[in-house]
Amino acid sequence: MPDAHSYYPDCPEELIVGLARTGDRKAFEELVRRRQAWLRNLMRRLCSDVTLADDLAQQVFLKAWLKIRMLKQPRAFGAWLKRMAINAWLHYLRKNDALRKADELEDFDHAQHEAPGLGMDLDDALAVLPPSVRLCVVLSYQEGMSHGEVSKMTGIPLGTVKSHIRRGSQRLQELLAAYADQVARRNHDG
Amino acid sequence: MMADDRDPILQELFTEPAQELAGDAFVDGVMFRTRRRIHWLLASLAVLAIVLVFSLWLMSAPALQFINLLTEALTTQLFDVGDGWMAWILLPVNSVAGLLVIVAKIARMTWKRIFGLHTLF
Repeated sequence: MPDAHSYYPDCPEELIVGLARTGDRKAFEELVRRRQAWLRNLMRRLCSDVTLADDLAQQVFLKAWLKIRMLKQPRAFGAWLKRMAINAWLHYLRKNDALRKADELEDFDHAQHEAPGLGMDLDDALAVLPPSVRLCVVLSYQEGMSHGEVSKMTGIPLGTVKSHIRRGSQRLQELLAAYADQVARRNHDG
Repeated sequence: MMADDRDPILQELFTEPAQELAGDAFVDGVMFRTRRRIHWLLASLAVLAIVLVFSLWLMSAPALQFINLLTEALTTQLFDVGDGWMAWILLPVNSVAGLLVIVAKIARMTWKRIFGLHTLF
């Protein structure tokens, strides 16, 4: 007779979350397996550092394991995990005092204009943005969150979120346009 | 969503299929951390229990002695009326404990009269 755990990959997530809440480690392992790619990709976009992103993602899952009994609605697991991921990232930034420095957008604009024309893909371009700007841009574009939702989830004022996304988008367009030109030239020369 | 003015070209870049990441090593890493945390928690609880039992064992004799002294002090008679039934009847008012209760009542009434507050006491 097959082990009950072998059915977990076919079960709906709500059921697995419910089982994990009772302390079923195999159910939690299944949740990690299902969500790991999404969470790691999100953290990689935010961190621009693969090792750090994976470490933070592991910390988020560990926290989720410790707090999953407090989750009232199993269907809200994804949003709950996302909130914890953002909190983990903000905590990391605060610990490293990066958020305060990152808010100095003027410096960021000047610095970037000093190194123009470098080829970049999306991850490289995102890495150029200050962490708080990158956070707002990624949540808006990658996670499809509205400005209001971004503000609510990050605790950044709505006006600042809008400004971050507008300026971040402009900067990304500039950086990625240079990349596209370079690729086109390379293709033409080749 | 368009109310949020997203750039369509950037949006297209972001919505490209996410990188497929091999998960086995990562999942093993997370589960190892959860196991380690559980072991750490169990070890902490064991240490706490040992410390608690040792403290209780260490403190039980002095604590009992202190309670005995306190009981004796509180039941000390204010006026000597002997050991008969009269002493037992008057004990609630003719003792240090009774005196303390009366003092507390008077302090409370005085406080209320002066400050008119009912929150204290």
